[in-house]
Amino acid sequence: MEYMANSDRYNKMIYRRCGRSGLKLPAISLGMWHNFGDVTPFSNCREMMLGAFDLGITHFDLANNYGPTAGSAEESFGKVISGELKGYRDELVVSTKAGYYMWPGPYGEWGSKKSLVSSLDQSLKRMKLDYVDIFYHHRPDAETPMEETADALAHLVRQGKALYIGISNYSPEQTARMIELLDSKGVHLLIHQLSHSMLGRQNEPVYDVLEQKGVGSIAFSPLAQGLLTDRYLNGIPEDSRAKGRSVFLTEASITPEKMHKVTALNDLAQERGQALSQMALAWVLQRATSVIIGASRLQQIVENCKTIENTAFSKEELEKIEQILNG
Amino acid sequence: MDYSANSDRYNKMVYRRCGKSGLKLPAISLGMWRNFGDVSSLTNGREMILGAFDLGITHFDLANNYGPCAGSAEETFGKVLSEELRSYRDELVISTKAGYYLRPGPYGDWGSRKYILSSLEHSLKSMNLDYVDIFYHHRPDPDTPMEETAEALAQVVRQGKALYVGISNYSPEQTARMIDILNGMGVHLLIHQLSHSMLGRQNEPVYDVLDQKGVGSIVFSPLAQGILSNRYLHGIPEEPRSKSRQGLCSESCITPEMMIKIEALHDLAQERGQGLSQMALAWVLQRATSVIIGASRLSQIRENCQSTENLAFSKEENDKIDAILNG
Repeated sequence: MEYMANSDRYNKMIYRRCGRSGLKLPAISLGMWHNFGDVTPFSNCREMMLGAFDLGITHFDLANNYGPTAGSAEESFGKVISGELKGYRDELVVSTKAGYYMWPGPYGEWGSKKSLVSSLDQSLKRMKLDYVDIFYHHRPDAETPMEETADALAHLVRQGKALYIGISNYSPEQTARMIELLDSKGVHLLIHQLSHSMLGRQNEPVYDVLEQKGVGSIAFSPLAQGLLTDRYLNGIPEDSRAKGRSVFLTEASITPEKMHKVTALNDLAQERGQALSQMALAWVLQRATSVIIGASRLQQIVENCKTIENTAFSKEELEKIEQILNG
Repeated sequence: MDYSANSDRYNKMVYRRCGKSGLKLPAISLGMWRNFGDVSSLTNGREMILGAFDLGITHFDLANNYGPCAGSAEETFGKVLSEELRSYRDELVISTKAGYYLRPGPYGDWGSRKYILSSLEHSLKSMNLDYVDIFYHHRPDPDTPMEETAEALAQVVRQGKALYVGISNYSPEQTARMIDILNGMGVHLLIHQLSHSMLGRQNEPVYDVLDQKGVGSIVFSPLAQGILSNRYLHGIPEEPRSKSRQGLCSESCITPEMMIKIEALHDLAQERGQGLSQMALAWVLQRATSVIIGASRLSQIRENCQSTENLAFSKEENDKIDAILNG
């Protein structure tokens, strides 16, 4: 199949500078956490990836353990980047991560140099790449000296296996410390990947550190596992994530109080001429450089990208959102 | 031959953090000083390597001159690694060393940059590896400035040819100095490999430096060349090492006074429900991160691994051991 990228793709997306750096990221990035593994039809993965690129999404976010099965999202990506997207490598920002459990034994997770170096080597092989654009430490490791993790990340930059470095799931204090350690090695922390949504605001203090230090941000779970969509407005559909076996969204977590808020937010979104999910993404983009969206169908990506048609909030709208969320 | 590692392997071994670092080592590591060279059977060498991994031994300790003949242990390991253990590379911590006599001429020994860099190149080729996990300077060199040796070690880390560096046989003062010099180059000394056993305690002051600086330790000759096993309990048997020319333990070192100590230790080990060798390993593990065992048969490795079933010593037991050793 010959693929020619949509020549209009760069007129559709907004690109935003990632902290004080030279790199711009699309406001909407595609996360390959779920639905890109080898239990999903590859034809659908490819359609979503190419469709996303046609919409101006230049950033694809992966990790060593994305799938399922673990590692297979990188393999799916490797197939497309060495196939249809072969001529477009330099238009893409590809990220991967190491930190969560990936292989058995004492070296398959956390933050040792041993684990990070060998994991990135594995990822590059699966993705058929010489380097990734961003390599993340996926979660802090309380038992490994942060110096070693920083040293490993700096080493991978010097080796050219990663252009930039990120961290994920670090607390504000851990973030500040890692920024300083990397600085002392001559490496600037590019980005922090954190969970953030209207229904999950516990990480907001992280932004304060990032802004002060000129580090960019990218938010995952901006739709709170799908709660901030119109999917659950009229009860829990049979084929939804909440009805399934997901540990990330359970039926019990969808309380009447939460649904009351979601309904009020949905009304506000309609006033703004947006779907609830679009308003939820736009809301996160007030603080984050980019938001990561997941998808199981290309149509969802198309819908989410329409967010950028209205990312501005009036003071009144923001106050109303606060009222709803705190109500 | 198809090899599939024992899926239970990580439930059998204890893993211990190597100083203040991200790397964990198995309590028992396999040393390839003897019995893995080209004068030994490759079949037996392979059986021991694979059998050790099946027991959860993730660390294999080599040096450029291990054999005999010198260098052939690395070749043996390289063969097994590129065949049966091929897909397990990232579960293994592989070390090698340079510092003792390897080849004729002024560049085949000691601690010059010239020798150290060329030796590691050669080791990587012999083992079919891109990098080793730990690279050691095998013994201090009084005639080469320690700065030059340190710079060579730091360089192999920067080049990615070694993830971590270690030293071996350094005195407490030399150790402290090397730690400082490496620190000045931005490299943390991971580990010191030292000789230590109930019958050879001269290096204990080294631990004080290591503990203070957050450096891990691994011990060789924990069984005092086999004296701390039940081998010599009933006199000197015909075949083992003390009768053969290659051993370091001569008949003369097994004095009647020594035999009294060994018998008393043996009795204590039995009270603990262990063999003498198992107690001797456990005793060393009170201070060391890991102990290196040698072996000529897989069954010895199995028996040694059982020492992890009882690593704790009561104060009374330790006092009794000191009384026996000083008696």
